[in-house]
Amino acid sequence: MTDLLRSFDPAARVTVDPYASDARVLLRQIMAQPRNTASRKRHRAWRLVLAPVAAGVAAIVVFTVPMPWKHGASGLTTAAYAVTQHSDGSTSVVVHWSDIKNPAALQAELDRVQAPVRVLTGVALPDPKHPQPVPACAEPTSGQPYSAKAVQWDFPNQATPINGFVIHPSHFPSGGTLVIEVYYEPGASTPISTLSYMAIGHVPTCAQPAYDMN
Amino acid sequence: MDRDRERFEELFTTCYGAVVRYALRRVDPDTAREIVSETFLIAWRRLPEMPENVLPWLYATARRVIANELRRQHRSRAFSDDLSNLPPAEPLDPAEVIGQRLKVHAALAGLSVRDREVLRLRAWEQLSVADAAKVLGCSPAAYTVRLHRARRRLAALLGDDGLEQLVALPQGELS
Repeated sequence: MTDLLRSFDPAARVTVDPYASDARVLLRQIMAQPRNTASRKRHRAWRLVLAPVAAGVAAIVVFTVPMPWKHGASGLTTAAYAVTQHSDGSTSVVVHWSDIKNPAALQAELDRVQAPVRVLTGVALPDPKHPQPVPACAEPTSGQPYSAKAVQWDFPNQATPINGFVIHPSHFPSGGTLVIEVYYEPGASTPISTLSYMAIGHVPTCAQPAYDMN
Repeated sequence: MDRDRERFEELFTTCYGAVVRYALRRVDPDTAREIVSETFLIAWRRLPEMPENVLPWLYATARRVIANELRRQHRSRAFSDDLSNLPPAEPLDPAEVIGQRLKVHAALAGLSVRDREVLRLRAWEQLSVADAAKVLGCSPAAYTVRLHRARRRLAALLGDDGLEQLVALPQGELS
């Protein structure tokens, strides 16, 4: 009985050979990596981002709605974005992510056209000793990937300083809201990573904690 | 640099299995592979900062990588701290143990993520109090308190006083 919890160990009988070929390949790959943290940071910066889960679906460039740029107020210095409704029910959005540290104006515009999109910004925290608890306001309860039919990004899988997307709410799941979380390093204006997902039902009102591991 | 490569290779060879198992206990096998890769990559980049006792450092790093991965994968049901993702260990005696295991499974699932981690570090990674505290970034005394509370909560969920000793601290460990 004393060992019951230990006997429940799901990896107790897993045998791992550090000399197996896959382990050696991993070791070689890791040791082939540069140890310059600056270059690593830049790599990560563009890795985590705006990734509609639509493997095999060709990206459709819809970078066709650059004007008019709207300039936000209240704390925004050079915030710039364009939100355009189309007759087919879709909405095009183009954003200078580097200027959207306070997304309130953009969010207001999205709300005005009744686009089911929530834009949140957060600070990428320094690598902590242990992860912080996720605040209740960041709980999406059911974050899901979405199809390229629902959201088409101009530059999928990239955290470009300027990116755009077209949403087709008719392809959203019932109760779905596209949530875009944009992360900056403290004091920086260029986002280092972004994350998007489809929230069903409850929509978070703040970004999840993110850690810069570099 | 050659010395660093030598040290890292030794570290990798010594700790690879432990880190793989740590990840497999918490995420699905595909994600575990990524967690292990990222954890050792961070170790490679931070080799000069690595303490002498490297395993708690690796576990702590893997824990943070999992937290980041959890966020990246949008907390989808395919990746979570949900115990239902874990493959059950092979039963020792199907007639008796499966029932107990199901009971423990349900009780663990009813604990908070933090309580589970406190218990897992002790029961599965079999860390000392001092090393488990390093993984969680707290003092050994704080870890002991957390472990005590987690054990009580687990026992309460199990509803069986006899199970309270599941993850008991060996006497004198803190002395």
